[in-house]
Amino acid sequence: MENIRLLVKTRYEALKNSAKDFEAFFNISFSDDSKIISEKNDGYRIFKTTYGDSKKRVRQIAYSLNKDYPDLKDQYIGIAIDSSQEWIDAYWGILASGNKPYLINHRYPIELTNKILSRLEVKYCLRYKQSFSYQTEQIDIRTLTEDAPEDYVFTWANEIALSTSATTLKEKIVFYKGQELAENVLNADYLLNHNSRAKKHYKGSLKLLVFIPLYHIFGLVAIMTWFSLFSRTFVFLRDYSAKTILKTVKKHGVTHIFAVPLFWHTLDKELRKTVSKMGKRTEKTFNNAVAMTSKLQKNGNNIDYSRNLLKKITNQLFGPSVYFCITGGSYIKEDTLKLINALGYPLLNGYGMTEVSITSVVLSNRFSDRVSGSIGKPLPSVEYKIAEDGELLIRGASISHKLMINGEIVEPKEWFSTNDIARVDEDGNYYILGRKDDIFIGENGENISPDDIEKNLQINAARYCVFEYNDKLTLAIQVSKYASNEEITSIYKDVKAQLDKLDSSSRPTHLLFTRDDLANANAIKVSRQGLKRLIENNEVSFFDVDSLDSNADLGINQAILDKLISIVEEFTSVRPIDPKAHFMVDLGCSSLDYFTLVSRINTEFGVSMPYSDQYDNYTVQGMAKVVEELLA
Amino acid sequence: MISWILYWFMRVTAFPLYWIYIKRRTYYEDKKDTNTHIKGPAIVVLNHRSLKDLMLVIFMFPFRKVYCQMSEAVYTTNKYLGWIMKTIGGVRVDRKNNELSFMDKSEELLEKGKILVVFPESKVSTDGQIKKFAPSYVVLAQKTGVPIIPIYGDGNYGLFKRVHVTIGKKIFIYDHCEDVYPTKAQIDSLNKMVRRKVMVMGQEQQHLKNVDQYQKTFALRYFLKDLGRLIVYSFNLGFRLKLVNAGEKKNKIKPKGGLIIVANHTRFIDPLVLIMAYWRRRVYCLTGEAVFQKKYPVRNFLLKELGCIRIDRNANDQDAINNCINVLDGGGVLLVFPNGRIHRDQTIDDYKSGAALLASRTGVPMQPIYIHNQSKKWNKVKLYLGEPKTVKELCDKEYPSVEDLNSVMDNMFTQIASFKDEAEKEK
Repeated sequence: MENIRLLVKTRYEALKNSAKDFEAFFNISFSDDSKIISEKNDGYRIFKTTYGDSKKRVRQIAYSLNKDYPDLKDQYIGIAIDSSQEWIDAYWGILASGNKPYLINHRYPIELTNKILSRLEVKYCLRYKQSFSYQTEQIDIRTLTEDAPEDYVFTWANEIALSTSATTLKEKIVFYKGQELAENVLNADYLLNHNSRAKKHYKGSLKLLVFIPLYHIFGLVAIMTWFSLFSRTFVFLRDYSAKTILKTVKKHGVTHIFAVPLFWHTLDKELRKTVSKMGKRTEKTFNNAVAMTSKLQKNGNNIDYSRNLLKKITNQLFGPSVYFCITGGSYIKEDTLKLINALGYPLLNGYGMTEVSITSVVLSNRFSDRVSGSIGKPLPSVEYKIAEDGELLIRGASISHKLMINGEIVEPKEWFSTNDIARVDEDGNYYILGRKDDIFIGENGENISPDDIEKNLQINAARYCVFEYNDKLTLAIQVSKYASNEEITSIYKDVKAQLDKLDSSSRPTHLLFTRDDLANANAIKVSRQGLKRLIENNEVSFFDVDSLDSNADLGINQAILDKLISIVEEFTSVRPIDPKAHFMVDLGCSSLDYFTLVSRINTEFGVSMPYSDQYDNYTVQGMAKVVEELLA
Repeated sequence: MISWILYWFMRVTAFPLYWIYIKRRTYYEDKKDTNTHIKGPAIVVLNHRSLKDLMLVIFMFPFRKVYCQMSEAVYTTNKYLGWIMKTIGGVRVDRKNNELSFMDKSEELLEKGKILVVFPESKVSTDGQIKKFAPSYVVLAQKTGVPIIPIYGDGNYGLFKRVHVTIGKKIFIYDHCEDVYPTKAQIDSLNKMVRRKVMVMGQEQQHLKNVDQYQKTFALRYFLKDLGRLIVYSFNLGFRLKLVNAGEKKNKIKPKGGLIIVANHTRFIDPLVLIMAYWRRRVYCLTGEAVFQKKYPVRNFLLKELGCIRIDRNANDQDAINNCINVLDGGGVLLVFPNGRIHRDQTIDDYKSGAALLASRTGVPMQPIYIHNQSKKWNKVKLYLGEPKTVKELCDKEYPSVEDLNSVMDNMFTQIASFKDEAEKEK
């Protein structure tokens, strides 16, 4: 049986007394070869990698880079690999080779990534199986397999670079030294003293679900760096569908889930949708149960007690193993916080940015603190200050030492400007009120935070954003490309009803609908400044809901039908394709073609097509109806 | 609950019928990896030789209920039959209407940890050939990650027959394709891989059957043969059989595994002499069709039971060749007189290359023996034993041509001729 307390103390002291560079960090993290560093599954089997295997691989990559590319010294090497064990091996391998990893966000537009790569003078990127069209040479890490001699001395680098999230798509590169990340990790002592659930194990293991990419600051620091110091386990997903996530969490016994608010909001929405489909009575029972467990927790009952009470629901969600959850990256709705906490999963709100790393997280075990919407108190490695205009300023040993914006090096000032408006309560807990640029002066002269308005809205659409546009408080709603007029009209009516309940001073007066993307597809949130730029550049066009004829298409959604026809054309030479033609009988395709077609549809529309027993559902028209129902 | 009770009731009551009618001999590719005790979910893929395959597979996995994809014909033939099929775990597959709803049902069963049996040929194969496989099981295996267990059955059902089944090692689709959404080409390739695996298992099963048949130390079906061996061995009392070049501890007459004995044929009792010498093993003798005469059915029966393999020298007797191959493949000893007939004047005629062909096909060694009758007395015989060698050792080729086989037989001829000279010198 592992003595967790002793382990934490030993590793903490070891890091504190070391040089705190990446080499020291690696040596401490990988000191126990037998521990499991990562797990993944194929749906049935679980594959495990130990710290020992990973260490061997790191040495191989580093040695092979030194040997095969002797000119590569102290240079940036891109990591063009998705979050996986191979990403971790590449990260440490590059550092051990004396080079510096650039953590490519390969969901960025290619042009932006290429620009950043050229800024950093990156000549090589490491890839694993998948190829990217970056303007650098790509090395498959499977070719870096030479074993280093036992006495080989690695010369470690001590800097990494990463970009900001896909929200703003700005050309901004952030640099960190080992010492800065180490200072962040040394907050562990404080963290664990204030919330021992963070080190709680399930059946002897502590496992983190790697949902956030490791090239994102949240993933890199909160998931990988914090927990690899203590040689804990990371669980990688096979794909990001809801079914896979739930299955993986239960299969592996994941204990920690760190995710962005979008994840928790989606979970909240889907759970409520599922419950409401079961009928009004079930919905009422569910709401009562949630209210009861919230009350029990408020009265000081253990959170695990709530989970046991709602076992029937939690067993269908994450199961009994999840003990600690963090959300961060943007605001989270109070209702979502309350629901997840009431179910017995302690969800804590945190705060951080790419430039300053993770700086605070709610650590209180009290229910009221967890659902208050606070971002907690600053961690020991940083200090917070609220400027006169209400902006949150941060300084400390764990923030980045250097930025590069549009190719220019920017040395940070003493206090880093977050551009977030914050307030602090008498207990020292901080609350983010909104982005400084987004604050809007209302008709009554008061400051209006669009975030606060969005928190009170529950809209069944792809994205929505409250922002100031042409001096008007505007609500922009992005609907699915395939949403029917009927659906849009329904959303419009629902939104109108919700807006009517808001205070007139904070009620958006302008309602805009669009089928275009309000933000980059992979962005965690919509950047209001970014949205304004998109509108100015005519990259987003809005339409008037009143002009829609909701009775016009009681049949099939034409956009979906057209898209499906274009997909089906890949499988058959029959032209033109009659929407009523059976895929196999009339278009001459096989069952194998149908399986591939289903995969294409699932990928294209983001749905999970069932296999139907109705003849009509194998026609293009029938498939379109099914897709429409699934999207609705 | 009711269907569970009904299922086990049906299974228990059907078991005696299964026990009487379907006698199963199971081979394993790797018993430690996969055997009949399967834990957790699996997709069992089986070639379809008979409708009785369903019964075979139901009783193959003790204490586990198996679910089987069944065609709509079973359900539409008779409503009671359809109900029975549903109770025993049938998953309806509607091939006629090209609908694939069975995929969701199958996936659900696998997610619950059940065993799903699939006959991917979709129809019973009447000619024994393995038909094209439908790929649905590949898609299911890829989606759920459960292993595919390939099984080959020879469909040899009958009251006095035995069905042979080979259970292969688990195949994980993920080991061959990690993509969440594999392409059509990938699914097709994986499907072909599994089909090929089942075909290879079928070919290897024949070898296992041969080993089973010809290497068993005790079996009732060999009673007459073993009795015959004992009787022939007792002839040693009246016989003066001498062995020349028998080797250390007479190891040349104690062969392990398959062997082709190539000898000269001057008298009708030559086979008995060799059986006497090799009494420790069951020896099969290639016998000309003339010996098997229709008017002596009892004699024919006894000859067959004693190990004679009838060959029609005037025709291309493929059955005889196959029987010889089965004997040698199973590790048996085959006696061949390459002359093709008895030469009473003790001349060694041209040797036919059939023995070399059999040796090259099966990889077993050939041993040349010269039977020397010391005098006109029938019971004084000397056996000159040559060294057993394989065709590869004799002609140094992996795949010998016709000329190579002829030269191998010439080698045999030369050795036997030299033994003959040696025998005549010693006279």
